[in-house]
Amino acid sequence: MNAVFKEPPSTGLYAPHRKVYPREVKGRFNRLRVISVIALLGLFYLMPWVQWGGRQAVLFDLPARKFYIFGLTFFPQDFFLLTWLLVIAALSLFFFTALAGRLWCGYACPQTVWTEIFVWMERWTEGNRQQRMKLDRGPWNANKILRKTAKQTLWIAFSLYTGFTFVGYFTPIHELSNGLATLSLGGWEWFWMLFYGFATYGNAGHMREQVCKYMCPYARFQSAMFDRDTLIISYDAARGEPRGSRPRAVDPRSRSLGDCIDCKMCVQACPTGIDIRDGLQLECIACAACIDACDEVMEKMQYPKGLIRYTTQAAMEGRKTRILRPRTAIYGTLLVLLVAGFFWTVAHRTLVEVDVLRDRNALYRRLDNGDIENVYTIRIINKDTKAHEMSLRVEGLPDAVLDTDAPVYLVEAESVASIVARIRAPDTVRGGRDIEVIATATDGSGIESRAQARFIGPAGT
Amino acid sequence: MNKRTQLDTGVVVWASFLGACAATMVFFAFVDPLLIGDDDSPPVWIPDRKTGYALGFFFFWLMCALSSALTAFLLETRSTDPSTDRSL
Repeated sequence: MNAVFKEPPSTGLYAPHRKVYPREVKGRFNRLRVISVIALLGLFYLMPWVQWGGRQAVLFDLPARKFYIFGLTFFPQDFFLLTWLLVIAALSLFFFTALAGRLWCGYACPQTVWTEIFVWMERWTEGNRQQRMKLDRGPWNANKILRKTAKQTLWIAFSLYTGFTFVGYFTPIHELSNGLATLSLGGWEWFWMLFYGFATYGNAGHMREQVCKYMCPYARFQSAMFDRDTLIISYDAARGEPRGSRPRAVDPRSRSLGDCIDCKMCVQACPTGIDIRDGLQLECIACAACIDACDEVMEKMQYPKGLIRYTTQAAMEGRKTRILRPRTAIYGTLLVLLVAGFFWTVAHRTLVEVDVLRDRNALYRRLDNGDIENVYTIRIINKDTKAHEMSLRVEGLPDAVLDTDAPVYLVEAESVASIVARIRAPDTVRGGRDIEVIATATDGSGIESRAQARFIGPAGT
Repeated sequence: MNKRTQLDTGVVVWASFLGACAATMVFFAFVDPLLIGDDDSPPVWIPDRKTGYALGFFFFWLMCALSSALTAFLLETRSTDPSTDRSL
């Protein structure tokens, strides 16, 4: 009994890779994908060139440890917002997967979107599916060399430009293009441009569906979000079988045939090289190319469209599809709450933050008059777009005073001021005490920010 | 290198790349590379933040790759004791 379920020997686990030559399809889902490709890649390639308030609108300035997103500036202290954003992204992936299956894979995943562009370039230079297959089989003649060179040139140029754009999110893109023109770029810029360019070239040009099959974690666990009401792409076997070819004029029923004419267009159109008629498979990225391909054939045969269609398991079994169900309701509610909370937090972010670091070298110092002194480095982080004059004071310890070299400090816009502060308390303090350091704006802006700290006195009670 | 080892290597390199990306992001959100080292003066091999980030990334990638490779190795070479065979 057990032997039946034994895995095949390990060497048989990996089938040799067959190159997939996806057939070009026309249809509404392909149009949807083209729109998605243009919109998403358009956003990616154009965004770094958009200026906002005198600087690049979206810039992750890592050397300065500041992220600019339109009017907002984020500091490392805002890291939890990024974490929050990632949680939102993960949850929306769950929500849309439960609702509509692998929408992400078919229309929005960078792997799909860049592969699409690379396939276009392949078509421009090497022709359609038959022409490409023939070219690959054929000898290395002048035509093949010319076409392959043209394809590689386009691919490499596009990959390099992609790498350039990617780095343009981290180094101001005008600076980057000037540096490129004058060949005065730093080593790391070169390195990351080539690194990202190479990754694009490899993934979109050569790896393609193998990324989805062997590398993508989402592809492996997405089925956990599926239920009987999730939108999937399915072949209507009840209508299609038994499959078989027939002349156009013949009524299939008279030959006891189903609607599938077994033309294999759906197989040829599939970018992952599967046959959707074998049922839902892990490899299916729900791109709907097979739907477009089959609909075109059905139209030619004058059969109703939708032999392969977006449907749900429930609908296939003749039941009604429920959109609202516990899974979608819970994912949806959580998503709305998290998104609303995120925007509220961003809108109500404190513009000035205080960080208190105790001096590492000494616990405390006794002054000539007997007072106890602790030394701190206080950092005032001004995230606002204008400068603020700030003063510091201490609370939580009776008669303690905070002393700095200057009474007020001007903290420039979007910058951090490091201030050495001495907190002094009478010689009655024993052991560690919790204190609070408060930074208050003296410019009438009403900004105030607090930070917890420890004050340490001599041991004893 | 046979096909199986090649693919395993690919998985190790890729999974550790993802791990390194996450680790780099979290680590450098809290640690300024220029503040690594004693007395707030960075070591000579971190002349600027860009270098610090890049070295950090490759360090995490290496560490994650070692961990992934060890995991792959242990899973691959584990005993054939029937009670631990998942395919049963």
